[in-house]
Amino acid sequence: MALLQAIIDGLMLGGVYAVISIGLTLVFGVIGIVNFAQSQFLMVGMYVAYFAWAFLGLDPLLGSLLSFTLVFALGYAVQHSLIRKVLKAPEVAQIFLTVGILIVLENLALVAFGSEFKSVQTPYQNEAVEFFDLLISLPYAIAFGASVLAGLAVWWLLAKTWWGRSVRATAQDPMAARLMGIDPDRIYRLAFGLGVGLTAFGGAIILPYLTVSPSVGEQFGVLMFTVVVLGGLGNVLGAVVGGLAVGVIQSLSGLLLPLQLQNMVLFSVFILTLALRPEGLLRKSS
Amino acid sequence: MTDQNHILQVTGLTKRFGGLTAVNGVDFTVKRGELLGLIGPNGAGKTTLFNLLMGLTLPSEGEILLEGQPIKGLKPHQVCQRGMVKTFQNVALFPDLTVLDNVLTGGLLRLSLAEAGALAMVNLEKVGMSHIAHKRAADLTFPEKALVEMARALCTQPKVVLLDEVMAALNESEMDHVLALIRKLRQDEGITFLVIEHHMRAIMNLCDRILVLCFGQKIAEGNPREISQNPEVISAYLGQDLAEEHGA
Amino acid sequence: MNRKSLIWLLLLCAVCIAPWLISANGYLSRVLTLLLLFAAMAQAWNIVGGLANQISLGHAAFFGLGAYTSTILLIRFGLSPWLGLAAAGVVAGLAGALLSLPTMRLKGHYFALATLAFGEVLRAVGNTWSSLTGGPSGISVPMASSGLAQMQFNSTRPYVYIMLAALLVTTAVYWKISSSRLGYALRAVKANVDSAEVIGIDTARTKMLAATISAGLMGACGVLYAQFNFFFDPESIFSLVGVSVRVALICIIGGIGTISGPIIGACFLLPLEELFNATLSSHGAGISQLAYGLILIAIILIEPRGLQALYARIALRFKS
Repeated sequence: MALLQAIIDGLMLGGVYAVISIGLTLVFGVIGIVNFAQSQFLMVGMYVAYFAWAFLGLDPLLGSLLSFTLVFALGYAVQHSLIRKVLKAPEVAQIFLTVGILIVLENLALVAFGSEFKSVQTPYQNEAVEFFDLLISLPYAIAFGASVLAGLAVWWLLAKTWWGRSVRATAQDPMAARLMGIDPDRIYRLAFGLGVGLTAFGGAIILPYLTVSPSVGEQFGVLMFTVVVLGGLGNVLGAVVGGLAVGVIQSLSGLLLPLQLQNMVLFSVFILTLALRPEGLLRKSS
Repeated sequence: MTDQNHILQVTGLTKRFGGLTAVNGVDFTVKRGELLGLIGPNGAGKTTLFNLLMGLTLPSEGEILLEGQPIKGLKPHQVCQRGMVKTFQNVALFPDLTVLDNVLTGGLLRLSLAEAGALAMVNLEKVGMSHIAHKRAADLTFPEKALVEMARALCTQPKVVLLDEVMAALNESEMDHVLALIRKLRQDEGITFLVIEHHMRAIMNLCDRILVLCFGQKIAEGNPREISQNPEVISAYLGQDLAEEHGA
Repeated sequence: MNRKSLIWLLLLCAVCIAPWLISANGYLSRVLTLLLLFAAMAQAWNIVGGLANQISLGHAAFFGLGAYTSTILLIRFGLSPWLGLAAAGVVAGLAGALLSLPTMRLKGHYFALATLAFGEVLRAVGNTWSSLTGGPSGISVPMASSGLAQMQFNSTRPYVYIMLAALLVTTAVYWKISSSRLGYALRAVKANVDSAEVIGIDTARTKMLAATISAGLMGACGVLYAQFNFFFDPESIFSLVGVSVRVALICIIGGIGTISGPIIGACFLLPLEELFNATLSSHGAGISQLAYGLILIAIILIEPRGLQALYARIALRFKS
């Protein structure tokens, strides 16, 4: 029973991990860079939702929409002013630019908000629903639900809209896309904005059961990369599968293993996937 | 079964990439010191065959014996240790290194740094490229690069050399020079050469025997005269129509 | 002796004399000590980053492994830090070798990612394995009598020479590798793996060897840091930004793949950091790091190949 509980919890967490990680994989798939600063945008999203709650009384679920919008705009600007400039530069430059952005964002938050942990209070925070002997935590469930909606929205966007097709075309062949009248630079701006916006959204919806501080991004860094590597860098569906998998793995290892080993499990999954199947567990790419 | 005189024995060599069979059940034997030509239309699987021999790709089926010892599954550097070396069709020098550094890196397998340097100059002299020893490899012309790569391969002190279109960009006199070099190396040092070439004149003049590949299969094998008169070979190169015209 | 060697010799003399011109326990002594240590660490990183062209963002892992190995051995078994230095080198080197296995075929971003993850995972393990590491509250190096045998001193001055020795050793190792067969093999592997393989270079073993040496040296530096600072915790010793990124950056700014790069980079970056700390820290936590991050971005945008390349560009512009 404890096993089933752990799996359920893992799946719900995993749904959120998926939404957080879709953005990372999208950025890589479309623009071709690994955004080492991705988890910092999660932190920004959390802060936006926190302050929306603190000053406007907005429930983080609604605040998450605000997070998405603001961080989307931020991402749009960052892509245009910074990332664009290193797309043709050696990889070293690309790596360290996003690392630089990581440092700037984390310390900007530190300077602006201080290092104390902040948390929200919502009416459903400590509630849980009983379902046949299983306890389903309400904040988990709500976050999971929001993730599913967001995931569907992204899928619809990429698969069914003209914009989504443009993105996929640009990802496959920027030159050909240009010849069809698509402006790759604009696509990159939108893709990056969408990517970091989604991660920020994910951060906001988990605010009810987590606390925010400038360093909260660090907890999610390796996790997001594990999800994305499992699903295949660039593969949006893979990020969903990877997210659920990581959630369950994390939950099960929390149940079965001592604390010290739990971290190693996720890392082992990460490094083994990179080594043995770098294109991810799913076969096709987005 | 293994004849001491046979330096390379290939049986049933096959390579499939998903649905495509690049090399299909190829058998052949190479005698020590032989000059074997490998020809065939583009896409026939010649370079893939070289990659299989060298261990850059794993065969789907078949066996490869080098001096009687099986080498299937060995890593390329292990195959090189056993005496086989390959050049690349599009030339794969180390662009930021000097010509000399490129070539002497080949010697490091068996020699000390100093000895490799000396051997490098000797081999550069042999291919006629010693005058550009200190030039950066990326700055060379394509024919120069091909010759330098050949010098580098020679530094590994090989018994079998796989040359992949080394003469593609050479002019007449350069080609004659290389042909003479290959013959000399065979004569003086007993090196065996497998040569992929599109220059018919070069192949016909140089090789003792020629193997013809088409769509991954060996369609003919014989001396240059036999091959040039083989109707299947002609049709493979010129198309079915002409073959019908010749009454094949 | 040519002009360049003369300059380096003078610099060496200057560094040897400097500790006597400044206060033995002062701020400047400490900065100089850390500058030399980080230059040494950057040189160790240079072996993988410069010669093999693999950007590692996880070298803090080896730094921390070294520090914890020797300190734990000292605390539990009273093992001399000098022997601890060897043990740390072995443990860190082994970790480097093990990590090189799954990362063998990874390039660029992927390699950076894998190494970053390794560093982060060790940080997490350091925090959770409290029984071994003391957990988040860190570990203290027991204070014994001051002396070379104990690798502990009650003044900063002797540490300057220890770190200088570390820099000289790592530089010598880099130079030896660079001009040896291993150096040629690494350059070949960096340029074209298949091409290197067919001429007989065992590319896997070459990469592993470089990784092992680099990691081992880094682990040794960890010991020196522990003995200098007397205290460290998982957050600081396995720090992504404070250690991994920093040593990579020092090397890149100074000129990756050059023997003088790490030294030039350290001489530029560490005083700059101290300047920020001194002038900006009073305004709040994080502001000096923020400035540091902004400078990093600026450098990447202006000249990612480092100061030497920037200097060459400027010199060229002045000539025309």
